[in-house]
Amino acid sequence: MMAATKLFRTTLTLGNRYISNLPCNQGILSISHSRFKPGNQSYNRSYGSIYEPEYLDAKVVEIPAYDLLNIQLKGYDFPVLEKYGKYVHHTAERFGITVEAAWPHPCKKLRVTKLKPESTAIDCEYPLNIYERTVQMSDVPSTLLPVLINVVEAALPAGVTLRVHPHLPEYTEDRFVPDFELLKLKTELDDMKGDKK
Amino acid sequence: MSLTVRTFSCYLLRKSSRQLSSRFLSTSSISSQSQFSSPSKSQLSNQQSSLPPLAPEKWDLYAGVVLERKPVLTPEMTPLEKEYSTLLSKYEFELSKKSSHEVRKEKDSKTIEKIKSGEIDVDQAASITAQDEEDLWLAELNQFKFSSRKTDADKNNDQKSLQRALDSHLLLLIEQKLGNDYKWICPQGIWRDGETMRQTADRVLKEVCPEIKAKVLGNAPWGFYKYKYPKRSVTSQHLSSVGAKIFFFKAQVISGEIQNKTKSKDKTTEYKDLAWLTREELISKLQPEYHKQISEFLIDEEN
Repeated sequence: MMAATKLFRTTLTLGNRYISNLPCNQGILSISHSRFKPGNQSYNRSYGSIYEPEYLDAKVVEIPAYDLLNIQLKGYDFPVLEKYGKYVHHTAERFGITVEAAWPHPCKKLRVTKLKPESTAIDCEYPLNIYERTVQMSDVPSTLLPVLINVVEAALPAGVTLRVHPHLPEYTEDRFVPDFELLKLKTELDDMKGDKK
Repeated sequence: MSLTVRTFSCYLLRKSSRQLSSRFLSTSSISSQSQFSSPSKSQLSNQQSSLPPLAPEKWDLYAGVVLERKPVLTPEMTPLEKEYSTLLSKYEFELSKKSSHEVRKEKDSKTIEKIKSGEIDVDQAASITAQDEEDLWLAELNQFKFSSRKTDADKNNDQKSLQRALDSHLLLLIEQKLGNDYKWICPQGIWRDGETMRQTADRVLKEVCPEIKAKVLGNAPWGFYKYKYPKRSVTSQHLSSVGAKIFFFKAQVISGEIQNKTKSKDKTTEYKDLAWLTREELISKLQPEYHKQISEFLIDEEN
């Protein structure tokens, strides 16, 4: 974790030297020449007047941020995946990123069958479960995302796959149990329409 | 903003006080306190008009690429970790319920007893018992050979191979001629006008190791190192520059291996030798200050 915090501070200092003294959670999105406004607790030493010239506003550099990002974790070993999901969530919060939600997906049950050579007789069968977790983050600055992914990737356990992608509504579809009655009625409707034609 | 105001005003004060002090020393003796008093406007303007303007220092800008192959295998457990994990598995076993295989085994042992006592015929019992299946599985496991953690590259200590040290990070270093002598550094290339630093980094990767498919992490640099050129070994190309500023970009190897040394078009990316080194070997090959700056953004290894 020491390395992660070190990484984080160096990138901040590179981006703009003046923000190096501010704590992680503040002022990430619009990094400007830090203008010490009145009422700011720790930095009340005024080297100029309180009313600073307006041309300084023109130099404000806004770091573009991603809207909604999903970190998708898939694994075969349930306790390992859960623990890792918890770690990813905690790390993202520690970096000062707002984690909107973290949810599980229903597991996909696979049956791997080994057939005897040159026949369809089953030699052995293995049931495998693919468990899935998603951590959703919002407003991640584009300079911070590679750092987060680098840290989280370094702690990736064996057998777990990590994917980071922007959020799409399709990714939450399998969380909901389909309404079979509704689907049945819909198909009946379609059949009736087809009959009429 | 106030920081710039403070530093600039300090710079002005220091500059003017230096000029004033030099004048005072030559003419009359004045106490040292006057050195730090702010001069009047007229004095300042007089001083500044007589001296030549301060020329801005020229620094060569380089984009350095820290290319890493991430570990392929998980690191081995320490003795403490091994002990604790066996303890936990024992604890888990004691607390767990019987699996369907164990239940079947117990059932089979009961049917065997019943057969012995004569209650059930041999035909009624299952042809394959759970114990038979278990024996088959154990035989299959014993036949299977796990590949070793140490590859051939480990045995030969081939530093040019990517198959060495599969459980640790490998960093690419090249031996380049800087000034008069050869030094081990991360691949770097000079920044050209009209391209971004990230584009320079991509170009460096293309020129040094074109066979390797690498992913550069992010558009912003991860680290920084600057050094001044020693006055004796200043080459004709760099006569105007004071020194070099290197901006490091982090990259990961996705696939590929370096086969042949390719001739690069840019003179600044030419190299004599290359090596893929682990974290411990880095310390011995790199300059201490350079290594310190690089290790700031490298993930630590627990060893």
